[in-house]
Amino acid sequence: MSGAPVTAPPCALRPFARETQLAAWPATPQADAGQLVASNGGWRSLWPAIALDACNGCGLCLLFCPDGAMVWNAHGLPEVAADWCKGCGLCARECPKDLIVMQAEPTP
Amino acid sequence: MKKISIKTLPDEEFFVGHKGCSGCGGTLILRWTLKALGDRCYVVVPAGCMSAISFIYPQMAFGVNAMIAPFAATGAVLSGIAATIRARGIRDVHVVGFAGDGATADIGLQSLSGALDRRERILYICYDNEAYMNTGVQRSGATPRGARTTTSPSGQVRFAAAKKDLVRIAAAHGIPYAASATTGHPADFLRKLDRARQVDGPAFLHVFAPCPPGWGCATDAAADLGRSVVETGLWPLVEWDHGEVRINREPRSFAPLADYLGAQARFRALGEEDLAAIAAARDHHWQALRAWARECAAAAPAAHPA
Ligand SMILES: Cc1ncc(C[n+]2csc(CCOP(=O)(O)OP(=O)(O)O)c2C)c(N)n1
Ligand code: SF4
Ligand code: SF4
Ligand code: SF4
Repeated sequence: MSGAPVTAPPCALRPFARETQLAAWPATPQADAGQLVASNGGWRSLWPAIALDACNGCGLCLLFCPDGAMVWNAHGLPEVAADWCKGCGLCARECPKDLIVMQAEPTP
Repeated sequence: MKKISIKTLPDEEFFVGHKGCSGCGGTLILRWTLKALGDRCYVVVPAGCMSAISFIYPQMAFGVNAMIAPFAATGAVLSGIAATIRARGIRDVHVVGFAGDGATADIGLQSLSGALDRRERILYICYDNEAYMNTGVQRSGATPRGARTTTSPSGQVRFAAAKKDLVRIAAAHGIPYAASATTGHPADFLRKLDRARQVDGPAFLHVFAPCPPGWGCATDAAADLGRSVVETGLWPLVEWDHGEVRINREPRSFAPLADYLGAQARFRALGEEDLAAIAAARDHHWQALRAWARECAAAAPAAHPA
């Protein structure tokens, strides 16, 4: 991990609606590599809340996320990409400073 | 070639947006590997979880060229691609396969053997979730003794064959490099990946890959189980490098089996006698492993050093 701030999530959510956008659907899946066409957020029952004040930016939470859902924000600190996170809790278990707590999903 | 390590791992992602279960160890291995290898990569994935969760129209979770191979043919497809790009003079592309334990230890074993024999530059990674997960947790040749699957409901400690030793099977082909790794030791895994991508010929990595629904473990356990499976001696970290064998971690004494087995529902039915049988098999496996390392050290150096 370089620690260089990345403001955007690794990939963007780009929803497709079968009815209205049929022509826009790619001929092969390859055309849309790295995009999410439907959010994975609904898989989650718990949300990883990060106590950023004490975070030293070690990057282990980014490393251990199976979904690449933990990203660097503009301040060089970890941030959860809500559409990508499945709430597994690996980031919380692997944070050496125990700064991530799995808690009830915040209501929008 | 820039050395691969946790520190040099780039921010780019080449495996994201997949529909793997929450906390899947196999997807973590794929993500690390492709991040480390970068965009000059052709990927082959046979039938199994990693293909089922990655190629879902209209989206593909791979950010590099990737294709699905027939279940039994990962090795053949890998060596075919490697031969083709060699004939076309393409030298800077990694040809990497990700196959489950069923696809590697059972149905794809002859294809893997053929590919290792053909000596193309391929990187074969077996993510081992210790059963046929995509079709609903059937026992494979890599399922450990005592693990409950839908086809070994009792765990069958006393009757089941030992887990196939894939590193030694690969090494027996005399390939340049074969090693075992886990989701709990990223630095060790990335070092081995770095070595594997540089050798001239086939390389084989056997990687422990926890599966929360199949194993009945917590979704946050993939890394922790990777550590405890090594500490309990049930997953030796070992490396075959041009005829030399290195045991990377020699625990002075093994951690109690319960540290590892107790965190998984698939081992829940085991009694004292079963645990003693598993411990005895583990000790025997280590004796054989050490004897192998000594035997290789005593033999003449390999004909094709690095
Ligand atoms: C020739 C053939 N037989 C059976 C199947 C059905 N099938 C698809 S995936 C799979 C299980 C794969 O198990 P494994 O290789 O261990 O990978 P995992 O799903 O655990 O990742 C099976 C049996 C198939 N696709 N092709
Ligand atoms: S909870 Fe799991 S999916 Fe979500 S950011 Fe943490 S490691 Fe990634
Ligand atoms: S693992 Fe913990 S300390 Fe390290 S970057 Fe993540 S939140 Fe910060
Ligand atoms: S069943 Fe297991 S191996 Fe397959 S995607 Fe889910 S966690 Fe991963």
